[in-house]
Amino acid sequence: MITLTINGQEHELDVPDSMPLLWAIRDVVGMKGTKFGCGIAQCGACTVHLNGVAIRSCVTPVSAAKGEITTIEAMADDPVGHKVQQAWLDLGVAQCGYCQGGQIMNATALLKRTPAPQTQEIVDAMAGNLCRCGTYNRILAAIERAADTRAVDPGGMDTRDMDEEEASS
Amino acid sequence: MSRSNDTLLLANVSRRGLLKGLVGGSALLLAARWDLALANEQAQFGAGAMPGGWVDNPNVFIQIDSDGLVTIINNRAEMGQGIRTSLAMVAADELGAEWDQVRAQQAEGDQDKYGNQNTDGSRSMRHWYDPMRRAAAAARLMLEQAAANQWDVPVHEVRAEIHKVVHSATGRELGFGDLADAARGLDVPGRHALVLKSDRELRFIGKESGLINGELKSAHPKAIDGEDIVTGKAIFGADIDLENTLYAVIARPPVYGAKVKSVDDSEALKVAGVKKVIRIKGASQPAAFNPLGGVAVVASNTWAAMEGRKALKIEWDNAPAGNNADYTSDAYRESLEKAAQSPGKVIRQSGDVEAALKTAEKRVSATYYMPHMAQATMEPPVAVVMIRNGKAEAWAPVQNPRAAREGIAGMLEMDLDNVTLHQTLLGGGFGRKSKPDFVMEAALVAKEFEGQPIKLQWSREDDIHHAYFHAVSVDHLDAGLDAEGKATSWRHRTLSPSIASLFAPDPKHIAEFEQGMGFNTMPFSIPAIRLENPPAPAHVRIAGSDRCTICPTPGRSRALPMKWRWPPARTTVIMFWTCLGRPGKFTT
Repeated sequence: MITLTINGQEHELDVPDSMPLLWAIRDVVGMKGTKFGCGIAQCGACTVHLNGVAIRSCVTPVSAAKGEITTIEAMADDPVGHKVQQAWLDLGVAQCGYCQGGQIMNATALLKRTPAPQTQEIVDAMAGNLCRCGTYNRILAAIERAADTRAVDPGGMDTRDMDEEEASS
Repeated sequence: MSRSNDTLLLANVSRRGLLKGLVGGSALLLAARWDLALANEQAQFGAGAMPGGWVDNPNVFIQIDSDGLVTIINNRAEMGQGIRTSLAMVAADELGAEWDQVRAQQAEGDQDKYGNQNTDGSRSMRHWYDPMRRAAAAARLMLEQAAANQWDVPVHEVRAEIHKVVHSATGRELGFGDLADAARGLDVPGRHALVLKSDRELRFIGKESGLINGELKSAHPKAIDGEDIVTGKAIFGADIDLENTLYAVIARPPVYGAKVKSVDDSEALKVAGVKKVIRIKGASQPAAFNPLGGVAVVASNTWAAMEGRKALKIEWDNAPAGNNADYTSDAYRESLEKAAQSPGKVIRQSGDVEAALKTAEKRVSATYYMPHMAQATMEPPVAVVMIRNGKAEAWAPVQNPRAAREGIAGMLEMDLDNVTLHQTLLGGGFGRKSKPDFVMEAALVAKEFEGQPIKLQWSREDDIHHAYFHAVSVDHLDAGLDAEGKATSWRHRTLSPSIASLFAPDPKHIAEFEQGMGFNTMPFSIPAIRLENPPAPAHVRIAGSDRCTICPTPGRSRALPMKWRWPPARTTVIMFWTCLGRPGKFTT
């Protein structure tokens, strides 16, 4: 038996130690907000927090998931997570939405450790979260909005140009 | 060149006819002559030409509760294009509904009731804008009539405003909710009686909202599914949670057309959680939209099923697959590039290209290659099916619910009425989820577990390996220029396996409707033109090809590059490509 603490609640699970946290959360505990995208830590759809750090649940065995696990379902009650969600809604970030839970989890972890990130820090931190719809520019704008350090950057289509402008100013 | 421009135009339209036929699983359609098929179809366009057509009955699409809550039934697949929001906006605008009182509810897969539901071809708004406005306008008239009846005044004295109907002369007003019951009992006004709102009266249609070029115009109206998505509550295919669900994955033939020769499942059955291993029948090549067959591992959770699959020892029989087992895309590219050096089937010709190329002042040549592309939806294909008492119930992220129902019904020899389909949100579609093979696979497994839901999950590797690939293509172009740099000759050879190979013996040449997507419709007025299509056999499941209209511009003969900005790295999943072309100096 393995005990997982998810969103403050303990779950006793009869699963092998090697089972990835993703499938324990989805299929055994039955919480569906955390998504399966690739199974090899390449897309970020399965991102959850372990003791406040964003991890890929699809490659994290349950035996290594010791401590507080937080999923997208708990973000509405998290001050930073809620702010990120609100920014997402304000800017209409999501398209199909499948990757967005993971994006929000990663963005929230970023803002918790770096409350006012530079644009490049956001780009670097979010680079491992793929979005097949291509919502990257709005994700960037929403994180900046949630970070509360600047208004919505007109950014448009090219984050690289933004960096150059900032570098030259 | 004997074909008229009209024929070319019709060839484009015929893709719709093709898809319409294919969806029903009819491979015979390809044997029909395109032109004949079209002759019967000429009078029908847009939504009217689709199976099931359009419906504009407000009783089908608009529900108003007595508390004023307006529910718009959405009959299209939501896969990120925002159709659940945008069609609801169209209806709410015409009806005059308060946006925060509007909900969307997904229609069951029922084309006879809801009109065409095949969400493919980027046409939901084009086909459903008018019917939804008419449905909403009819509902608005019914609310006005209900109010007029209640107040015993002529209907022309009352007017629907936002979420209420008013009688200005007496200052009386009633909310939509107050009128809903009475309105429901009225006749639906005929189409001739409807007057749509003028542009001036509209609040949503044609108005900018959200983030436009980086500027937040207005955060309203908010997306219907936005809140569910950001809180993790939105239900995609894999999120269907039914009691006693078993989880399945399938080991499919690594080579298109191959079969299982033998399977040793002894190790797989030892994996904790694995319940059963079953062989799944697959279609022969050409497989159309049918399952590929293989060996299914059924377990108490997805991971156990995947671990069990790893432990299977399967011997495959590649003989039925012809030479597909030898297929490698690098060698294939070389063979196409070589074939492009020789003349091919002539598709269009005017003037003497060979002579004009020889006498040209300057000659420009270029060869372009487009690789295979997988649709790679963020949400890999997944479906839940339960079979009980001769009936099948499916929950799946499909673009074409009818095709999924027909696929299951045909395969399991059930009446279509005994197959129901609940459409979930789609984590991306891109045409991949128009094909119901994965839902049919789930049904094949579910058949072995009467009364128990089976969740059939594709892994990312399954998705890439067994995609309906956008075909590779090689395009070789030679152009001759005169002294002024004007084009005098143009020879274009295009090579690419045809989507037709999925439904009929491989024609090895692209079909006319494929030519019509920018090849034989090449628009430049050049004295000598020859378009050729050398043969290109298919070795994988093909779902059409992407070809650029690319022009070798003197001094700069290359395709414009794809623009990829972010993420700059780790894009290990094949993503879609955007290819831009520009006519350059060929403005003859």
